[in-house]
Amino acid sequence: MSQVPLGNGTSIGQAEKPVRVPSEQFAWRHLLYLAPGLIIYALFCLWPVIQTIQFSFQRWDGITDPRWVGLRNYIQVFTNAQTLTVFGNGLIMIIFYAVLPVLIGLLIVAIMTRIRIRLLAVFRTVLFLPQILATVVVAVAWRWIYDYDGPVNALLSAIGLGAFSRAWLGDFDTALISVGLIGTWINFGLCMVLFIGGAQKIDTQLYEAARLDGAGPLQEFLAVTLPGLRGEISIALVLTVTNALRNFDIVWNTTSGGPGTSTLVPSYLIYEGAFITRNVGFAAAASVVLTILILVLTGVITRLMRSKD
Amino acid sequence: MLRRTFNAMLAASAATLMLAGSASAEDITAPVTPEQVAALGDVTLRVWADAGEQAMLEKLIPLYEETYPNVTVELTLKGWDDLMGTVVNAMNSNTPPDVTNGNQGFATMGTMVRAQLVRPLDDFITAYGIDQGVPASGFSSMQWNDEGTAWGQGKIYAMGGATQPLGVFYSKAKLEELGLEAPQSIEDLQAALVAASEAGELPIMLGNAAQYPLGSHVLGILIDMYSSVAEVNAWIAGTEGSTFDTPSVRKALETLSAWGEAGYFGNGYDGRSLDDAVASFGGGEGVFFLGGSFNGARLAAIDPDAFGYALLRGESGEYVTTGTFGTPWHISSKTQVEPAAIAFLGMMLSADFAQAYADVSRLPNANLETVTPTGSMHEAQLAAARDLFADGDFVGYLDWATPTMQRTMGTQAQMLLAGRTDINAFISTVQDDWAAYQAERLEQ
Repeated sequence: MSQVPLGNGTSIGQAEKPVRVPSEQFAWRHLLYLAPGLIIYALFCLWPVIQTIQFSFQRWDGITDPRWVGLRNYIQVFTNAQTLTVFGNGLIMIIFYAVLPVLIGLLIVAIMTRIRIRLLAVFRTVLFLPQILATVVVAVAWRWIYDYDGPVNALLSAIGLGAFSRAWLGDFDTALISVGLIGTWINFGLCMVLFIGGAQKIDTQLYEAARLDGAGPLQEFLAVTLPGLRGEISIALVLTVTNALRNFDIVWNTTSGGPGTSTLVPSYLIYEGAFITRNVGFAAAASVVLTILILVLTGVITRLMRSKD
Repeated sequence: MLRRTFNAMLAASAATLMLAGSASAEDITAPVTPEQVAALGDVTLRVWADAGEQAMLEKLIPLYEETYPNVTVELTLKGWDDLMGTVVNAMNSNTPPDVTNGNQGFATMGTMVRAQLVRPLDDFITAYGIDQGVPASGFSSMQWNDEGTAWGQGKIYAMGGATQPLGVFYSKAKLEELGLEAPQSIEDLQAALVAASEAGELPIMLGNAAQYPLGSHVLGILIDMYSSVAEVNAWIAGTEGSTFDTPSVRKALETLSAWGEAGYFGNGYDGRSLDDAVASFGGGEGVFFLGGSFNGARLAAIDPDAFGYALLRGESGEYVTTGTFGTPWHISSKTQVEPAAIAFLGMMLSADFAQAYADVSRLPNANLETVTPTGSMHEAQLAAARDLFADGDFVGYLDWATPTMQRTMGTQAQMLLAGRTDINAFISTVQDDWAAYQAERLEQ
């Protein structure tokens, strides 16, 4: 306690000068070092973002003179029934692209922490494979799987459930789920790899302690594995939620948003607005809304998952 | 500040445009001569095309390069969706394709006309006699006012090489099995569908995974059957006071809905791609296939004599069908090699080259009367096109009506057949889309 007033009294006057002067010099030099990256970032990232925001207040065909229309595009985004359905579909995609993959990833890790799996590296590679395949390839493969004459229906017929067979991607009731499950298949490998990496960092003593205390598999998972994976789950959710909301390629290559609007997602709507129907202003407004939605959701996830210590 | 820079950029690009526009403002009065093209020196002609034109271009380009040895053709082929997503921006760039495929309608052709990206072709059409022997009404979808806000009248900005009427393909073997004649009218077709269904055949092969062609081609054919040409075309062109809510449209929708209820399209059509449907039909599945004549090239490649093709006479007794002179070709208003570009289109659309189209089972606008068919199906298609040129009428594609109409109609048609909407809601949704765009179109 006695050091505080002493410090205040003696050293501040002297300390200010030597600290401030070099810090000012450093600031300028640092900016210089930052410049190349900053310029590229500003040019290719910030500038397009600013432009997109600008376009979102305009009526523009992408070619001729734009016209300011105020909030009209935003009003359209929030009042058009189709647009609302489309954003709703985007949110449903989160279940398939983020929630399910994380749960499956956790399940695999939970099993692994109890049972020693032979050929782990092989399994890991095989399960991770969907993540590295080109999505066009994935989409074409699944289109065949879901086909009316495809293996899913063949299997159903074989086990006497032929009555349930249908064109999975062409049916109003099943198209969104079917597209979503493709996303689950793509993303769970990523979650699994992240979680396996995280689980390997958990101190094995914690597991021993839990077992000595008589914890069962479930308790052990909830008390040791899950808290230990907090960071990885957060990363996995941020990546997969983003992936879910900006999903475009799978929809483009499987259903084109149909049947009806049942699999239409925001990115698809934005693409159509910008390049096909040439209503760039509306597409920009939808992009801004989508970006904000992603930022808010990922912000909430990182905040909720932040470790308390 | 940003705004000012942006305006400056716009002004600069507008100035470039006007310069380019005035540079190419010289009309031609006679076909371009090889000497005029040779005077360009060694040049490259950039061509963008829909993949459907590949077979034709593979014949044209060597011929062209032989005739004009100083020109090298640089061809970029694109799938239809890809072409639609990129062509307007490419034409707006500083290095646009000199010659390109586009599409009718406000979003693509309208935008390019409005921005003066494409050269009017009236002089070319007259100089080369492209309009000889073809119905004048076929040009209307490529005629625009200077503002690019209305079509049907004005300068001609494009021309296609091979007509593509929508019609009915049928399997000859299946019709024979069923003891039926080829349908000549919508009544014939209705009766044949009933017979096919009762015999346990799939009446209509449809692949609608891309929300197309059910809401565009199949519905289009039905609307043609019950409507007057002028009525439909006026609505598509956005003529004031037009409406989709007409007795004839209702009748078409009722028919479509009844076909769906009767199961004439079979199962799983919304999950089948158009390509797969054509392949399946070619493989002997289904009695009829409703769609563009351009699907015939693939069927003829499977067996040139196994299938038939018919245009139907509508309730009026006339041949009325949705169709055009084919995928439109444009010349860029910024091209630096205009004589070469004109010569390219001139050769492509000439009577001399028409047989090359026919050799890949297409229906050239030029010389339609005398080209040699690849087989009996192609012969039937040529006969249908001749009838249409002689005394039939072209109806526009419904999706030209607004930039979003393809989606709206495609969606609504799927919903109608799935029982998720009714005819009243279908019509009002489509009309709402139409009405909203008419206001927007005029304020461009």
